[in-house]
Amino acid sequence: MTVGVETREVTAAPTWIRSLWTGFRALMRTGAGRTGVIIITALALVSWFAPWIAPNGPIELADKSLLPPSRLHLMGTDNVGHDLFSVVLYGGRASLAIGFYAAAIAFLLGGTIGALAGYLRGPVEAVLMRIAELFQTLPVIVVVLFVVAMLGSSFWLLIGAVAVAIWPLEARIVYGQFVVLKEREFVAAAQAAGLSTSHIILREILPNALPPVIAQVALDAGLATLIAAGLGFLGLSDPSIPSWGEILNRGQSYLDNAWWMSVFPGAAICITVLGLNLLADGLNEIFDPRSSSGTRLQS
Amino acid sequence: MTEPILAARSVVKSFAKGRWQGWKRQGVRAVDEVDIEVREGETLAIVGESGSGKSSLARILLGLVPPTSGEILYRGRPIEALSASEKRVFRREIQPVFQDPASSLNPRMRIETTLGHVLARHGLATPATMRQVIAERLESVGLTPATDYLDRYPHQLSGGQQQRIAIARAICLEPKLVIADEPLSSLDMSVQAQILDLLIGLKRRLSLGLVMISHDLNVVATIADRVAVMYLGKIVEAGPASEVLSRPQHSYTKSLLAARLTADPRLARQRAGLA
Repeated sequence: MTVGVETREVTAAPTWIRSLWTGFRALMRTGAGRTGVIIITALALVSWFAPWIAPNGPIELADKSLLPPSRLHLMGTDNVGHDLFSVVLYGGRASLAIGFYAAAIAFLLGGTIGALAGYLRGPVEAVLMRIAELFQTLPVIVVVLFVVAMLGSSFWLLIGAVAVAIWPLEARIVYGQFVVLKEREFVAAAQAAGLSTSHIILREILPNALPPVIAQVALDAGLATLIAAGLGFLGLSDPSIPSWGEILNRGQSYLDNAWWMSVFPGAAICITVLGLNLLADGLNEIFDPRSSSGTRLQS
Repeated sequence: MTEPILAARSVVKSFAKGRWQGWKRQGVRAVDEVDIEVREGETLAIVGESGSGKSSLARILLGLVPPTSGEILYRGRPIEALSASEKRVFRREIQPVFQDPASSLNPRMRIETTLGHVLARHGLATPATMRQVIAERLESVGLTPATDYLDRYPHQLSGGQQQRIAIARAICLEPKLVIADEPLSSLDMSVQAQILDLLIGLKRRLSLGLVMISHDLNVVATIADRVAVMYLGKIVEAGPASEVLSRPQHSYTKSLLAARLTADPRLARQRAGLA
């Protein structure tokens, strides 16, 4: 299909769904973006359909403990006797969900704060951005250890902890976009026409600020997955929900006689983070007006 | 004599810049004690080279940026003293046109949406009549047939077309005064002439007041009733256009006039003081 035909399609039906579809197709034309989309989609599907794919339930005792990988147990069994393949599949649900939710919360929280700081400037900017910097200096692991010690571990607590760790990243990038876009003349024109502040933030600035932010969110979802796995490894995740970090935590005692307990969940984490980083690269490429695929999206 | 629709009284805008001196940084005065006024239907040209504070003054006159000191009077009253409903009338009656047409339209908004928002804000069209009203306003700035433009995005248009849209957005609110900040200088020569003609036509047809900020004295001579010359943030000379342009008093005005482009090389040498 030629480029000219696509341009006309966009002109004919310029709804946001249509532009989303155009963006998606541009993304699929970048090597990194396509690989990332495939990896993340595959992981999401496999985790979602774990009950149909996994040979055993996540807490069902399948066989003797610490059996090496075989045809019957593709990834072997863990120290309790669960089928590791099944636990890794089910664990993907928690790990991916933590990454997704934490990145989404961080985006909403950091985005709001960054937008307000960048739009209002002055004392609001000074206070909000210093708070963001303060949070960036907090050692996440220590904070979470403290919170878990106080409140006990839970799924949502872990998500909250990871979101707290990464929201300043989103705040900074949204803030940077708002500072630049606010000075653009179309914003001045909207202000001079008396359009409301909420209209200017949501309709004029935000749609123009989002592209680099979306790429950052994909990157930070990878970071969130990694932090969540790290917390799980330290034994801070909810022990009743299987997750990759939690398997790693149990596997560390058996590193010398059951390598499979560490390698398979570790590989799953690596693939997830790799997929999200590739996705972010692809997004950056299509939103960059200087790249060839970026020009395609713009025209 | 009628009351000025918009006036600046001893307006100063300084920006913190350069070296720290004790607790305060040295300020640069972009706009320095400026007094100007415009009456309905009148065209005031503000001329000066780039960096002379013209664009800062434009944003202050529009009420987008507060001056460091001094005040802007709208129909004789300071704009910060206006009530919400008066402010709304001010926001309709005083409209901007900016220098860079590509930057003055939201890149992610269709032309119809861009105009629709401002019309809806001031209740100038109902959802039922909206498309029709927008089409009329686009045709009044020479974009015919308007249906070719309604669903476009700014990047699908030429610079001249974008500037016409920006002008349509300003005049669709039926303003009394348009503040045009270098509206021609980022356009091609041939397009400049078209946009200038459009502005002159609109001015006549709508008895529109105009503050034309420009560095091009040929343009100013064509359109202005009065001229104010700005140099390093100060108005150094002001008066009727014919007078300022033919009998400049300030040396800066003289040098601006001398630098003016002409098709006649002999005249050019004469102006430069060489002949």
